[in-house]
Amino acid sequence: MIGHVSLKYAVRSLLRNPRRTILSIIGVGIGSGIAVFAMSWIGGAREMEIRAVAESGCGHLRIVPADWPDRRENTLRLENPTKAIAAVDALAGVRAYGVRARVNGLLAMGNRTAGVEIAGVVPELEAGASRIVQKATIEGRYLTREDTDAVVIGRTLAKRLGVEVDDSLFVTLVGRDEIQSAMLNVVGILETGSRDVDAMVCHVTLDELERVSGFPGPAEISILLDDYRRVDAGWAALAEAVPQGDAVITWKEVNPAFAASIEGDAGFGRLLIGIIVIVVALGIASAQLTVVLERRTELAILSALGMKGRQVVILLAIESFVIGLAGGVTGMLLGGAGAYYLATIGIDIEAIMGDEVAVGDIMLDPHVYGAFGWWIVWFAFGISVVATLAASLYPARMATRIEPARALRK
Amino acid sequence: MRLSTLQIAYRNLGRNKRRTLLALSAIALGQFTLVFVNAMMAGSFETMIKTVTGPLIGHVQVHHRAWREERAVDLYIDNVAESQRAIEALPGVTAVSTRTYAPVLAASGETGNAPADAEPAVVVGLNVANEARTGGLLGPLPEENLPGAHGVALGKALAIRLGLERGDQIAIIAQDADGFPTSDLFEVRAVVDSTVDIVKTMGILMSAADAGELLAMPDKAHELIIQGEDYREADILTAEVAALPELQANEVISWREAMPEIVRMMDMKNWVDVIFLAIVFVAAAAGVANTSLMSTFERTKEFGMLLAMGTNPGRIVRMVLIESVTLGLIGVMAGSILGLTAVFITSQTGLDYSAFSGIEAEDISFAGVSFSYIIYPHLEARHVTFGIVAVVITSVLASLWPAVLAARLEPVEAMHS
Amino acid sequence: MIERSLPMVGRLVILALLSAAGAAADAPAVDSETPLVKDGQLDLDAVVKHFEDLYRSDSSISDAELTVVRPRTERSLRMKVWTSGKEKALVLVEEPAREKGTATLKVDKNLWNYMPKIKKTVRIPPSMMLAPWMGSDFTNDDLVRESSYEEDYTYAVDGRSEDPAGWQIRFDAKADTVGLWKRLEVIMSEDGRIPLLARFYDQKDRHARTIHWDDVKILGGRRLPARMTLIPEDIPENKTVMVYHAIDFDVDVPEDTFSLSRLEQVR
Repeated sequence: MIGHVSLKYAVRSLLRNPRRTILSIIGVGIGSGIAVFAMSWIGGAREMEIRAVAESGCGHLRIVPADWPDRRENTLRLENPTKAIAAVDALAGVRAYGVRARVNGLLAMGNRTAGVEIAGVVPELEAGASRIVQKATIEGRYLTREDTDAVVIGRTLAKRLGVEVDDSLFVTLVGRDEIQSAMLNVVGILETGSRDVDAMVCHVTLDELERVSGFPGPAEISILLDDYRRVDAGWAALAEAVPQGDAVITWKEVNPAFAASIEGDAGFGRLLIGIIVIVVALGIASAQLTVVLERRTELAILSALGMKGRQVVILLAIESFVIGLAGGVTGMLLGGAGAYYLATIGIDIEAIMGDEVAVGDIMLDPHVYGAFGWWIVWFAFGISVVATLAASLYPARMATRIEPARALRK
Repeated sequence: MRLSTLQIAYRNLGRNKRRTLLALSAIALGQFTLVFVNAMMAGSFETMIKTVTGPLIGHVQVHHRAWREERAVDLYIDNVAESQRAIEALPGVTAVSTRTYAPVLAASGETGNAPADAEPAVVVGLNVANEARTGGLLGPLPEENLPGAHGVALGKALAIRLGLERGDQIAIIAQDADGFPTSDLFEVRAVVDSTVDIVKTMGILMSAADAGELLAMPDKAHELIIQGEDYREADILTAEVAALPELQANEVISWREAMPEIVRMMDMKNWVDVIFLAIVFVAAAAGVANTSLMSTFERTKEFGMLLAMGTNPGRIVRMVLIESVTLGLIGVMAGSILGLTAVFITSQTGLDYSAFSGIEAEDISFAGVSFSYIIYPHLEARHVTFGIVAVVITSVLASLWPAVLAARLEPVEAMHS
Repeated sequence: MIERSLPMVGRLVILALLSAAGAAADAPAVDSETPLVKDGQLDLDAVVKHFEDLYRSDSSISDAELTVVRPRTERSLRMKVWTSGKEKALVLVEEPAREKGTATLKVDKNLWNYMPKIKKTVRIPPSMMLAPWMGSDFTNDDLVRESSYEEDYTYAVDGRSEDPAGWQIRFDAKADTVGLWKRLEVIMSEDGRIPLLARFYDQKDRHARTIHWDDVKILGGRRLPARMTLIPEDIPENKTVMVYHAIDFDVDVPEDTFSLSRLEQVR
């Protein structure tokens, strides 16, 4: 019966002070909303980095010859490309994939030469799988499936060789059995704006590479997923489907250096989130504490009227829980709205900076899309409820120990 | 006895110790957070820049005009000794290092049955004394491990590929500055786990003298690396160096021009951090505002009584104003002191966040340079003053509103709320 | 960042000389007696064939000197070369003293280098053979040397030349020819036997380099120019000069010459 009383009293007490209740709820809501937004931002920053690595040709997942992770030689080729491609087609959540092989070679025009890693690609897949091809401006055109003797090179490479669209390059490469050479017609010159990238791009069709070099078939299938968080699930599914002789690896293994850097950033991000959560929680707690402290008189009266200490505690707990819940809902809505904005429109740092950013052969797209998902719910509620409860319980216990008379005199 | 508003304000604060303390804590926490997180971000950025302008790049670089494009061994700087003296004479220059670069083939020089496979590598001839300290390419190495007199230091990944350890012999085949074949045997004095990617994967570090002899370019170099006192002054230093008569035939660039892509990436990361800092600020301000607001609203009854006793409503508002400014200032001071202390301590010990990240903090390198998982927070005065202003204003505004509201009420209403 | 490239002079020498060696064509060689000019007209097919096979034989032993001229310096290598067919060659450096005893062996796709100073033989991976040539005027076309002037080019007499005096022959690459040169202008001596000069035009029809031949001698029973000078047009201060001091054509070169064990004992 006393418990019943507590609940009734709690609700009535909350309703009796609408301004205080509403302000509390709003305060809690804003606090947890901010925390949600911060979390979304950090998640977005991480997603941006992973996306940069994946979209620059690395892919989220990759099917490679079983030996490749150790040997890293571009002479290795897939054992079973048909089965591998079939497995990728059967996988859910695949946004695009690229099929490639590479060979070291030398391009020459007259006296000028340039050493490159020639990439044989499947043209109609490549545009979807590589941001480099997507975002670059191209003079001439990109490769098509039917092309023979065609090559697309980067602007810096073209300058070094002194060639333009429609010129013929003499190519020598280390083929499977012997050194091979061929003439390639420059059908397109690609310009990404990054000198490094533009010095490395040299694409021919996969068929062409096979024809000239003698190495059969592709060496890698790079897969871009819709959702980077599904990498592990995708890996498991593919690993089952891909036969022995070929292996499935994630972007982390393709590029451990970047993986380490991204993990480092993620770690720093978690540290920052921790700080925000603490600040928000303490902020909420201190606000609630003030409220509770001001009610000591009221609580003392209750105590004088016969309410036991335990019941007062329960009373306060219920009140704060309700505020915490309502605050959590508010926070979820506010923070969720912010996160939604971040997730859909995002913040375009490129607009502030003015240009694409490329390092090595990774093209960064400086546009942050926040993280958005069910985590918002428990995150918002978690902070709100924990902070408000903690704030109320401690002083509540203290409050109940004071002599009613003393309290009344204050 | 009429008490001044000020005295009343102070007495109010003293009388409600808990409430005062709470409000103070919220304010102090807000200021502490702002100061510390700002310092953390600044420290992280500093470390990134220092790593980038560190051993490989320096603040200012000098090259033969065509060298960066072509990287040919015969594109060297002619008057190295002269140029070096002239540069060292400039104020603000802390170090000048020479570098010689040559792509070579390297193989194990150990005796064996089958001929060893040659691997491509890069010889870097450098000023051993300059580079054998923290921040130099060699890093701090004990005396007997230093390159020189036909001894070299190998990058770790290269040593592994060649199967070599300290004490082994390494054969180097190169093409000298005149385009002729040259080869020699060297002793491996040290294996360095350099932060610079290319050094680690392909680097053979040797003394400038040895490199000069191997490559038939004695007393010449491909690059002069100049370090100044502050990386922010690099552009000024670049202009000063470029103006020197000895360097007229050469190219002089700042680190930003040398690595434009790294600079852009750093700018981008900076913006990501700035936006996060804005979020931190809002969080801190929200906490302060929330507390001040609630705290003042709870006093409506008290204000009502004052009003009932005939206090001027304006006076109440002034009283609250004084209280919150006082609280604000004290709180901000407390927060600043705490923040400064925390920054000071962590700037000495470093803040290790590797516990927060998933993987081994071992071989991290990105775009040629490695990063570590430790931050050294770095404080600038504006971090503190910004907080002081922002936090005080926030707490004042947050307490004024309820005070004004209360002051407008009928005393009876106020007492009953 | 830094280019991974390594030219090996040992290699470029082999490769330059491989362009000289190489299996002879099936048709009988043009001997030194047959006149190539009849009634004031050039027997063009015979002339081109003779030009193509000028330095060729199934096997050879020669004594050659390679000089690389650069704006700052000039350096020479004197070497002895053994060749057999198109795939095997051994080069031993005899001068300067600093490089004496350095030997390079090519067998099929493999390349080894022996350095007497450090008594080490090192295998050079095939991909290194393709590395861009720094400091050398030879191109990777010279490396592969798959195209044949006789088969891959259409040729015709293009009048006479004054300086140097001789026949001007124009070579145009056929449509599907794989190679660096779209056309050549070769000036042959009056008797059609000695090339004097060749201008090479790249695929964009720009004059890219010139080769001069002079110092005509009898070497190995053949009358041919002992000195070849290659000048790239974009940097005329750079030159590469190849001088043959002696050549023995079609000699018996024992197979074991082209072995690793012999590499280190070559004298």
